[in-house]
Amino acid sequence: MLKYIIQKEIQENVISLRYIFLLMLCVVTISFSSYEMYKQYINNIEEHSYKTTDPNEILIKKQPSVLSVYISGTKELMDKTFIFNRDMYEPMELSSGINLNIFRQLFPTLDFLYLVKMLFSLLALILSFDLICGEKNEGTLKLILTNSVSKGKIIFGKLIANYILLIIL
Amino acid sequence: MLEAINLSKRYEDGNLALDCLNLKIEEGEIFCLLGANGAGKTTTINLFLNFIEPTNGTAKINAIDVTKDPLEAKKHVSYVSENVMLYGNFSARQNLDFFAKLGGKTNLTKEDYYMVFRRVGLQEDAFEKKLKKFSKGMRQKVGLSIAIIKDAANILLDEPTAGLDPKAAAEFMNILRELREQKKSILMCTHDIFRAKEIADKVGIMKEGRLVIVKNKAEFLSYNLEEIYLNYMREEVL
Repeated sequence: MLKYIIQKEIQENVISLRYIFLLMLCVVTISFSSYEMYKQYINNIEEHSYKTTDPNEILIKKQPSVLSVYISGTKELMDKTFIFNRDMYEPMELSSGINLNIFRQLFPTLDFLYLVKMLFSLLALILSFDLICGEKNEGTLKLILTNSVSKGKIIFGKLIANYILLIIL
Repeated sequence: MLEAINLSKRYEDGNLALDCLNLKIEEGEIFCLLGANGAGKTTTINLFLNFIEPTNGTAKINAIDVTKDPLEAKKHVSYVSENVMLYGNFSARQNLDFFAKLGGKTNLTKEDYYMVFRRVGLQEDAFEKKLKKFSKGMRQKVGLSIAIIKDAANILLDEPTAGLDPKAAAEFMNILRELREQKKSILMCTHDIFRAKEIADKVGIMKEGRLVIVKNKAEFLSYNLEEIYLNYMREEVL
């Protein structure tokens, strides 16, 4: 019984305008985010190839990670290069090692992780806000309940189906 | 078999919607409940489907108390409402497929669904058409298909012919006759006294939650049912 409710829920959602719109939104935002992150990654590679001309300085550079195309991690907050002077024990441009730019913390990079955290929470809400009351308003809940199926099964079936739909997104 | 024993329902606002209803519908019998709006017809159906809890009494489907074992009781009942609401983005066949599976019919083929549609008189080109393009009459036919395909021993009909054109209503009555021959117990709530007279084996008139009169076919054919009904309604007005 649960299987049929899940099947129906997935089938109904996949052909709905709402799901198609959400799918398009995901495709656009993820493509945009990947493109921007890729551009940043190329910049980082170029920065990485920079060499100091001062013979008294040693340049230590963090190599950009390939996965930074998807997830920026803490690299935006951390310095990428550290220049040590041969005559000094302390690094010259290390400052604190952490970039405390509040503006950047308020508006973090639109990487995949950020999209999952923010956009997908919103998508889950949009997908599920009318799971039960939608059926009730449409009048189909009454017809479902004339069969030998419990309310718990209906809710659980819908929950599972919408998890699957969110994973597909 | 459908049975109501001293069935009563008082809503939270104090309104007594159903007052001590006693009725029994045997196999192969069509019982028509007549009555004005608010007489308690739909409340009776809602109690049989366990959508609401009775204040007193028992509703039984095939001798199963619907409040004690609703899931088992619902295996033996089909329902067609006044306004059948289905999934608009699904085709008629997809709707029937889903509800057939919920009703326990899991190994039916597309051709089985088509046969039921033909039986209720749905046009061939509508089988795979989306429900949102259907007229009320067509939706009623799909609703009836759902009730037929479940093949339950009892059928509850809540004003099923309301809004149907005369041809569709006549086809509906023919299907009810076929179902009666298959020994189904049918409870039909309706305002349509002429249809009731045409199809019913027993007619009951409800007024203010009470079943005030029950007549079998021989009785209501010999009396003037319209007059009996209108007399009761007139008393209500006075």
